[in-house]
Amino acid sequence: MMTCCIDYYVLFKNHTDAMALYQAVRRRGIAVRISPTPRQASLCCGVSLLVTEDAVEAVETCICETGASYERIVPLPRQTDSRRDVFC
Amino acid sequence: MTDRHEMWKELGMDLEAHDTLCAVLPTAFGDIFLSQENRPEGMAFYDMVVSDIHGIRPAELIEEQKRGRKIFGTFCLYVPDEIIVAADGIVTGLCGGSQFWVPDGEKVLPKNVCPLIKASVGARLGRTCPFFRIADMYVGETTCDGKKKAWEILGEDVPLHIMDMPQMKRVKDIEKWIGEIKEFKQVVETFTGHEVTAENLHAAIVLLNKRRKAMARVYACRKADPIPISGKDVLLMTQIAFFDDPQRCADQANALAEELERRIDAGIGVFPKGTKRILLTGTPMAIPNWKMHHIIETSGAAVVCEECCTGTRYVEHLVDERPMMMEGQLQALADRYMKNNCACFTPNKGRIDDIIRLAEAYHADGVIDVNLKFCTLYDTEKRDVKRALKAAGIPVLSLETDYDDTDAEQLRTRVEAFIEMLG
Amino acid sequence: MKQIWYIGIDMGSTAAKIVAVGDHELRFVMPTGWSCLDTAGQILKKLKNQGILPENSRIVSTGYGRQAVSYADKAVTEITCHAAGCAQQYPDCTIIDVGGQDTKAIHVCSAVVDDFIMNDKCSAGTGKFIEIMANRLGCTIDTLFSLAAKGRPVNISSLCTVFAESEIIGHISKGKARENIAAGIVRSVAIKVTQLAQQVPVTGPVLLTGGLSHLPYFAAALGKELQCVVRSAPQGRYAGAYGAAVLAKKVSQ
Repeated sequence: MMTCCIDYYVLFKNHTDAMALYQAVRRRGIAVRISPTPRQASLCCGVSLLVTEDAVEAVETCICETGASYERIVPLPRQTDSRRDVFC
Repeated sequence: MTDRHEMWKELGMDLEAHDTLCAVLPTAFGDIFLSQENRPEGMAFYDMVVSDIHGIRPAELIEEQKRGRKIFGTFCLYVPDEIIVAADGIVTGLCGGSQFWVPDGEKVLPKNVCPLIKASVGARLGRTCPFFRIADMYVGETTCDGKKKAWEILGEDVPLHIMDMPQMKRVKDIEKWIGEIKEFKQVVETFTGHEVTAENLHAAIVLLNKRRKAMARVYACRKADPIPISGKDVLLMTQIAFFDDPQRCADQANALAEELERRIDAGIGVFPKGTKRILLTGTPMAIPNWKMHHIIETSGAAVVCEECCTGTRYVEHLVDERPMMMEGQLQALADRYMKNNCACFTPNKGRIDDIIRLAEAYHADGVIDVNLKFCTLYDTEKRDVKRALKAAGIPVLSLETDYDDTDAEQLRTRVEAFIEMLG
Repeated sequence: MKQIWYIGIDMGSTAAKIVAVGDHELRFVMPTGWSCLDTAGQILKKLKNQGILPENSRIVSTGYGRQAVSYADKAVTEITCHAAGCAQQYPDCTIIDVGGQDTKAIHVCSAVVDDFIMNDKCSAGTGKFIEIMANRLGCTIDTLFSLAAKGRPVNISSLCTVFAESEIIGHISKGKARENIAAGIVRSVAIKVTQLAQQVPVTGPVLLTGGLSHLPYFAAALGKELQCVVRSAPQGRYAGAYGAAVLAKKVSQ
């Protein structure tokens, strides 16, 4: 059964900013992923950072300390479902 | 996020229709790729490319066009990238891998044409893919009947050169192929305004060999058990290689391979040790066709190798770098490209040898021969493939599918039963 | 010691078949309806009424709705289950399963699946085809077969269910005997099933499973096309569920 947990998507102005924060966060050993921006988070598709609930605080701290530029953080119920079988 | 709408509008795209494609991609990519555990760090680059697939690379290509470089859209592994790269052109693979484009293709093509051709024609005529808009010239080839006739339709809309493929591999056929490469060279030279010299051709051969070697290094890591990377992730790397800059592609693949080699040393895998290992063979899987890999890898097995155009055929066999004169270089190119064993050739025994060789090298427990619906060539060849593999004691499952979602459950039943059969 | 029940639940597209093996054997069938989840719940209730509780059972689910049986210990495909069921008696055999939406041929060697083939999306050569045509003739499936036994088959050449139905309407309008049309329908299915089955080796006893396996006329019609004796599998339509129960025993070991 699927547990309904919340994920956080960090949105950016461009993919360079996204990769910069991704690398900064990864250097601190925090588990995050690069993800396409879900429609529910923004109508403009593009690169965002997918952060699980337990890592979001550490990511926010990293943003503060490094002064990384980003647009906003959007919480969403977990989007991924490996048995949905909807291909594009 | 950078708004790409202005760029797409300038490319003459149908923004409204394109938007429906943009809306489904994040969901599909999330379900298929981001649901995986413990992925290699090196996949972040490829995740980024897909996340803005119609933005980042198209924008780069447009910048290059502004500098006067020409973009060539290709549809087949037999078209030699080296000639285009030598003339300072840029290659971008254009095969359509989404059901989204199929209905637009069916407006002009019969229903019983393979989905890859329908999607490719649909992506151009429906104006819903920036790569299909950006390409200055399309390069077709006479590999199958469906494609041959599709070029006539596409040629009404975009400059198009067709390479006449041999159908057999006798000496005289390879000589004929050299003639086709020579003619292609002239076409590219005229179109780009750059002469292909022995020097720049040598540099192109070296560069594209570098890409092959780097990707082959990633493939080689899949021989390990536990497997350090999923089949899906390698497929994604391969699909992106078709439209990425070759040098960057090589760098990223090498970085990924280094990480995978460290994983192997540490015994780290993405599936438990002993997971059933599947070799896929058959028709190409153009981006974003991730269907079979996803079904297999969520049914308890791992895809360890792909004997197809979006697999080993793209990364195996280097072009001989020793010839420094044009004649020898063209011969070397023809020799390399004729080592690809596509079902459009008769006979095509080489493919069966490849499948058996790769199944052994990658320690496959079974082979899944999966072909796109209405591909007569591969569909017919499946009989020989099955017979040869059975004789070699390798279990095989033949499947036929298209880009549609609707047969997913039936495919799952077949794949699961096959995995159960492997014990 | 408490009695352990080994239960196979075959959640097919048309009907759910249940076999429970304990101190005695229990089997029942119910329509799958529109929701496999609901049906799975009803099955559980029915088992409980018989005093069979999941905590005292090992359950294997199979069939197209196998994932919907949340209380199963394991989900196994119907291909493996049919083989496991038939192999109890025939370790080397060929199984032809004509189901509601899928038709399969399974070649079994030394009690394990050696090769199998399944029809694609098309419903020609499946139980669905028979069901649609029986509706067209205004009779039940069983009546269609008893009519067919008395007829001489008319020719039905279309490979597609929809087109074949049009052909049958044509035959009806021309006043052809119902018996002959029924015989034509059965032969058309037998030909399509044979075309599929011949893609795997058809050796050893050839066993018919699935919803049509209780009809000797169908087995005979198939045998005529396949040019061999086709017999009903010992477990008939319960073959999948029985095989799942056999596998449930293995799960616990």
